[in-house]
Amino acid sequence: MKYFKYLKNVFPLYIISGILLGLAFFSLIAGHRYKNNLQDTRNNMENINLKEEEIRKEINRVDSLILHFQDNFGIREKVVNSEKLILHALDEMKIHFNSASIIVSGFEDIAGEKQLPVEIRIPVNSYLSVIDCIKYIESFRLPKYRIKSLSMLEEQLGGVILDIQGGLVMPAGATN
Amino acid sequence: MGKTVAVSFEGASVKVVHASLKGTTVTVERAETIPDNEFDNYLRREKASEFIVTGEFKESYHDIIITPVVKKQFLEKILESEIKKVLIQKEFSFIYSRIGEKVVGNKRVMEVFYYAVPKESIRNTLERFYSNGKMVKAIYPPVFSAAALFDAHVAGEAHMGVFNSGKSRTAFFTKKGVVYFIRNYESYEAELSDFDIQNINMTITYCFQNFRIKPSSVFLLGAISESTGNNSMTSAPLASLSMPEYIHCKREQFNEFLLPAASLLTGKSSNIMSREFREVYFLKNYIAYATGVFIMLLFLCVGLMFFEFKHAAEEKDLINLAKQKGVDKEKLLEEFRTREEKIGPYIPLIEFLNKPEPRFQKPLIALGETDFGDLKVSMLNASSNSDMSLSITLHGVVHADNYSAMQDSLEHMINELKKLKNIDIKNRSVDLKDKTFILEMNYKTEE
Repeated sequence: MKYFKYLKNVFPLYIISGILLGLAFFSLIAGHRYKNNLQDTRNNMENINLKEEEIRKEINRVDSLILHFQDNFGIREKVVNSEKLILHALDEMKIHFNSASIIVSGFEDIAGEKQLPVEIRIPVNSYLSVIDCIKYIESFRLPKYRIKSLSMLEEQLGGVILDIQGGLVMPAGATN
Repeated sequence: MGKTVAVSFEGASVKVVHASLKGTTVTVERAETIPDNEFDNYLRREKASEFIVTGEFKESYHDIIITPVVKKQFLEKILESEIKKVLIQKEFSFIYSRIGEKVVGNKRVMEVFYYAVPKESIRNTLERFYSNGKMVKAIYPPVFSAAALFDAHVAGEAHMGVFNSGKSRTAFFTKKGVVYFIRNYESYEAELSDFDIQNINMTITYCFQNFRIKPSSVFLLGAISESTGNNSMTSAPLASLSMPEYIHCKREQFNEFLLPAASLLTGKSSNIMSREFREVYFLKNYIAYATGVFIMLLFLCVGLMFFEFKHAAEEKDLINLAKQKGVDKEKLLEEFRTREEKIGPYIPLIEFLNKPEPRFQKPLIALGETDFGDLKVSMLNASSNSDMSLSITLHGVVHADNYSAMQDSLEHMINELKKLKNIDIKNRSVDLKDKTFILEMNYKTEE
């Protein structure tokens, strides 16, 4: 433009102010982002400090759970021997039902579980003793005695027989 | 209230008026006359950056031309080509005013008054300002500045004005504020002379012959209005223009600085500034405003930056505080991982323990507490189903004397069983001959 000479004295301030504004604007954005990042870092650190308490609680819960298994189920080894525990339970059962006939077959692995089919035939003299037997059987937790069926039959000679079909069950993954 | 400086070039002197403008009210604050050869020095000293100029154009062309009735943009093109015929090989800038329409030979045409000035004359005037770092808002021909005073406050439709500009004298004819005709002539007397009266009468006659209008009055403007004692008569009443009430200054000041004062009220349409200088004015204004906005935004950004960095420093302090508060997280995580490893083998056992199983004890207790009346259960079978329910079958004998009593006993037992929660009787059968019954039911275990 041939009249540019009339504008030349206003251009330098215009250009300089424009450049300075641009620099200031980008610095502002950078500063804003920097502040936001610091805020995020602080929030994360505070969250970590809050979670520290939760982690401690979880550690205590795991400790008490392990103790519970050790005290109540006698499981102290790192690797649990399922068959051993099942047979131990069977021994207990035999001692408890000393007048009962207990029929056992071989171990089976079914759906990730170790099973020992056990049939128990117990002579009972009252309905209360039936309930006591069931209560005792269902009190097993590790291994469990899983009842498939039960029947109370009057014998021809008199008396009642409680026949329980089922098995002692443990998770197979816990077997050595 | 805007402060404005108006400048009028009048012969060897330049008249400058510093005024404040509020709406259409002009208050003259300072007025001075500067010799033309000192005007550049004056501009360098002057603080004001923007001026309104009334130029003195030694070479100017004005006339009335007849054009077809067309729109504004076409009219300007037609005028430009018509003026070019007069100002051959010269760049020019022009202003115009429509006088009116008339019929010539059954054709409607338009009469237009134009005033053209070579661009070089405008450039020479404006460069004095721009080379001293000043801006010019508008440049008006003297007649158009003076004609701005012939507005509503002056009685009559058509008027004539006469004023001095340096040695030259100008007589002009206006109708409704629009300039129709200009006559420039030299006068060697400062006061109104017979020669002036002769020129005024000639102008009136010319205007009457061409426009069929006589001015209602002839107004003497500026210094010439102070003239007294002339015996010759004008063909229209002669008067001195009174100072408009919206111009605030002394009467003598008004007479002396008529053109610069009047130029403050002149309309945009009288601005004869060439397109290039209009662009320069626009660009310079734009750059000035943009620079101002940039600087304001710059301060705003710097303020916000300070605010952001102050916050960032606070955040840093809080982070350091949080760092000090926190325990050794690596150690804690290691401890947690050890526990995870320890609990690992127990997980299948925990899942196994949490797995729901059908429980036989509860339904057996419930059945034991049920009143069976005359019925005696001889056999009980119970088995678990895949849906966690139990199927229970009762076989028994009814100790009743007759069938209805037997039926009653059975109904009684069923009603009692129905009272039990989660028990649903599926089937029942009675053998009347043997007085035996079979009852099949379903027990839904609670999880």
